[in-house]
Amino acid sequence: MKFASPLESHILFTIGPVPISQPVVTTWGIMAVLTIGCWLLTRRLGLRPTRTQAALELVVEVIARQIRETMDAEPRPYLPLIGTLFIFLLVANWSSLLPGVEPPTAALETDAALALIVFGATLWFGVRALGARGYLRSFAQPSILLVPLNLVELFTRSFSLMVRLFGNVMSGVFMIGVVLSLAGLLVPIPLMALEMLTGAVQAYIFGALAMVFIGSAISEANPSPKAPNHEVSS
Amino acid sequence: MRIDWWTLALQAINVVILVWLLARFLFRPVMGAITARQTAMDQLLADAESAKAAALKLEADLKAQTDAFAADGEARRSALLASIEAERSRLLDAATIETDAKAKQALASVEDAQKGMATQLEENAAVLAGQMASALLRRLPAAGTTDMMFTALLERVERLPVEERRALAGDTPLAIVTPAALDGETQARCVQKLEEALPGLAAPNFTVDPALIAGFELHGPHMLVRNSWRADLDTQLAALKEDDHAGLRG
Repeated sequence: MKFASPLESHILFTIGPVPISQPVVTTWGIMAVLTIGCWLLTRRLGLRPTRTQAALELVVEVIARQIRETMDAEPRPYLPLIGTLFIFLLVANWSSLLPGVEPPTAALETDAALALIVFGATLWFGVRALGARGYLRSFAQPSILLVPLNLVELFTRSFSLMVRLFGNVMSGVFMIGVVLSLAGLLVPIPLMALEMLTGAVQAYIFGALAMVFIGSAISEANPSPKAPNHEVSS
Repeated sequence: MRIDWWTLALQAINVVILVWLLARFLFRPVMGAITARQTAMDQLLADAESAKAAALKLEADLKAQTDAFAADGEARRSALLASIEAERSRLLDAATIETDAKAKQALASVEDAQKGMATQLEENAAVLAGQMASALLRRLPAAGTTDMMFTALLERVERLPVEERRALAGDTPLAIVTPAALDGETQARCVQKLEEALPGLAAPNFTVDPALIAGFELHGPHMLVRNSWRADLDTQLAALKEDDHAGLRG
């Protein structure tokens, strides 16, 4: 059996000059599933929650509480980004459990795009919270001598974000593929369970690091920490 | 290794679009539902608090009203008891006064009856005494008693002041009342002695009145000189009555 290199993108078709690779198609599928699923689940939200609504509210509240505790800020502005990153990564990582589906996060371009979005969001929220001058001034903290180091850190931590996710997911997928080709149908099941755990942990780590990066960017604007148990809806 | 920039760009766009889609279809509705529930809960708590406050106020008002009713009832009961007591006292006093008055009236009636009976008994006793004295006197000789009683009459006349004797002498027609008819000699002797005691006396008349029992009496239109047992009995009876009145007054 011959394995395709996980470091190469597989073009499925092209739209004009734009090549459409498999991770993009898989991402579109995940987007469709998530969007339609969320639309179906949130059509009839009421004051008396059903089990589904209660589960949705639980997920959203857990994410919001995590944002509040990590970033020490009101979670509402950051909830769509952080929540989407976590949910998309979780679904994308677990999509490898479906036969014939390769998770888009196993492609370096997807991880790079996610890291790029976190990088841009860090800049955006930092500038929005501190202003352009204030945000640039934050690179000179605590000493102007640390400006080069802080600038390098700005890029390297996004790069590490990308590489960490790519390495973990790609290695898991690759290892399951190798074991599956060698040992048969049922042997990779423990590895698939481990891959589920790894996928969830990686989704959490990616979201948590995104919160840390954005939180560090806006921390100068939030000198006084808020109460940790501040309600989401308040 | 080769980076497919098209894939990178498309994935970045996809994630951005997914952020918008999930914000539109997941986070915003769920957060809205949570906020709506929180608002409704706050409103319910506020309404409950208001209802509780209203209920407490109503309870306090009802308690105050109940207390007022109880106090009013107690006051009315006290007033009613007081009026009943006053009416009872008034009726009791009236009954007592009426009873005392009736008792006094009955006592007075009894006393009056006793007094009347006593008077009647005394009068009867006086009459009986007169009758007994008259019966006893009939056993004595009439001349002796007549002379003695006339002598006593003359002494009584002679003790009168001169003006009164003079007035008595002129008080005509003067009647000499006796219990029994006198014979002519006795009448002449009596007239003679009387003219000696009363100079200028006109001729008197002789009148018989058995009620005198014994003795003489001189009856003029304006004067009266009595020396008879009847007069003595009347005097005794009057004295007895006076004693009875004095006893009642005492």
